[in-house]
Amino acid sequence: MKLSKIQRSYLYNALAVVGVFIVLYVLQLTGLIGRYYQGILLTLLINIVLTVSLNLATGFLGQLTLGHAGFVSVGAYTAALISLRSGLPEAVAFPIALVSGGVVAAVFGIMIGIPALRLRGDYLAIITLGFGEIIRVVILNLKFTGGASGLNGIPIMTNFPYAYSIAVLTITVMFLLIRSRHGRAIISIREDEIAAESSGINTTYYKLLAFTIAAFFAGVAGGLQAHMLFVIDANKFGFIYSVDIMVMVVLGGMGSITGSILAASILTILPELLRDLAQYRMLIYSILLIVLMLYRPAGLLGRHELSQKILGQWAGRLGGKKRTPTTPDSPEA
Amino acid sequence: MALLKVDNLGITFGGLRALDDVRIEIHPNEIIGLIGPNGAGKTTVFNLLTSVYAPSAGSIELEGISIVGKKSFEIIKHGIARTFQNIRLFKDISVIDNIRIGYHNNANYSILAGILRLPSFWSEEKRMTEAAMQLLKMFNMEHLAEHRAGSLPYGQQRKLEICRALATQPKLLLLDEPAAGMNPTETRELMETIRFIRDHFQISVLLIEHDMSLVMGLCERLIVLDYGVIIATGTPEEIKKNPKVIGAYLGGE
Repeated sequence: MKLSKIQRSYLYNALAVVGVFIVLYVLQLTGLIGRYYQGILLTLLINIVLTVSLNLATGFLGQLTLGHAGFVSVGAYTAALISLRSGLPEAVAFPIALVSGGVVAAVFGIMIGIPALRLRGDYLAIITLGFGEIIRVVILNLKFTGGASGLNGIPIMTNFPYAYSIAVLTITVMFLLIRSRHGRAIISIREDEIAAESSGINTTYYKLLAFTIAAFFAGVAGGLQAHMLFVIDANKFGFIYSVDIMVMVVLGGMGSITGSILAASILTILPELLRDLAQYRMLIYSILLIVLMLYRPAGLLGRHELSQKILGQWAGRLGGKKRTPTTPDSPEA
Repeated sequence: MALLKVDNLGITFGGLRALDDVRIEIHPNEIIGLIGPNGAGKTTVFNLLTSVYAPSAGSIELEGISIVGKKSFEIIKHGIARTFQNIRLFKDISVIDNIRIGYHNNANYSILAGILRLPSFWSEEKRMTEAAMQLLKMFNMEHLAEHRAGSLPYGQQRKLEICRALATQPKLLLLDEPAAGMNPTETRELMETIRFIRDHFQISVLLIEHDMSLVMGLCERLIVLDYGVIIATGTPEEIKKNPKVIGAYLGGE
């Protein structure tokens, strides 16, 4: 059966995804990746979801939002409450909890987005920061969310297959969205909002759309975290956490999905390697950001995606032809 | 019926009456020039026509339908497209993507259809890409399709902006100083291009311009604005001899 170029690339991607899954799964089953590192792998996958989702609102839409952790928190608490209070068996409740976490976070995304997205730049950053803190404080003061002690006893349901599938789903949805006319509309807002309006793009709608989709996946990631940590506490999902996610987005490149995956991986594994220096973590992060902004402000991959760069390098080596910088926009893969 | 009918249009910014009692009538397939000294309010007229500002007074009707109060992107759907004085391209994405964004409202598949890659996605994307390439071919830029828009030389950036506006399939095209920064040869080429656009796409063009050779050679009618009011309208011949116009450009007596 002869496949078109696009179908072939989809097939290769699918095979690669399945291949990586099998390799990692087997490594864990055989114990070559021990319990401790299995936990890190889960955290890594969750961080990928967080980074890729924030990148949609920040890198592709171009709006600086500093309240992403608020959506994670809302998702975590929603999911935890469903698992704890619904009376359903754990295995049934878990997927429902995850989806609900995402949906509730998306609803918050709409509620916050409608007033907040009227603002731009620094003002938007501050108002989203504010909303993130409001969420944190409100949760800490409500009885049914456990107040200051948070929620505990959340069943440990997050495992490698779940986390991996959700990470793959998030990445896939992002890619497919960005490489469509709706993705282009979102990107046009980042490039020049006035020109986008003048070209017929309903900027209010698309800003809200990107913001809400980002919130949805943040909520799902929150649900995964809740079912991994056994205990959740709104203080862990504060402004600092939003900054942590933002650092990953900026490091990878605002507007590069593969960059986000790369950066999330580096910034999850690096603290582990520097475990002895844990107290210097914020210091190292800050220095890292400063150095990055001085020498490579666009992040590791800038706005390019890893696959195109590799292709470009190969083409360069083989034919000596210079590849013009393109955007991740042709609907191929 | 007139394509565009503007009546008694006025706008006030704080204490300044930037435009007062502006009347414009444009018919299908016309090329009209809006001229006047700097600061006369010409770009303000464009901004009012595309709803960047809301008028303090007056009416704007496109094919009989009032567009006052509509949002900018809705006005595109009604059929008015514009270019900007200081080119506003989507610099970091490709040339063809700039045009595909212009086609956004003429393609028809939902967000879900895009994510699930349903047949509507493939057929609409194909149609959009072919239409965009056609447009580029008309302007001799098809070899630049995948280039980053910001890397284009100035003249081609201007052409690209016009292409993007054309992609929205307008009935009226507003060009804001399209010849800015062009030498006489490029200006003559631009005149041919605008005539071609009018004939091929069957649209009207309202252009703001300071280059008199282009304005006199291209426009069928001129509207002269000075300090926010229309001081003269007529054919290029009539306007050339109008003492009020001469006074406005060269300074009063």
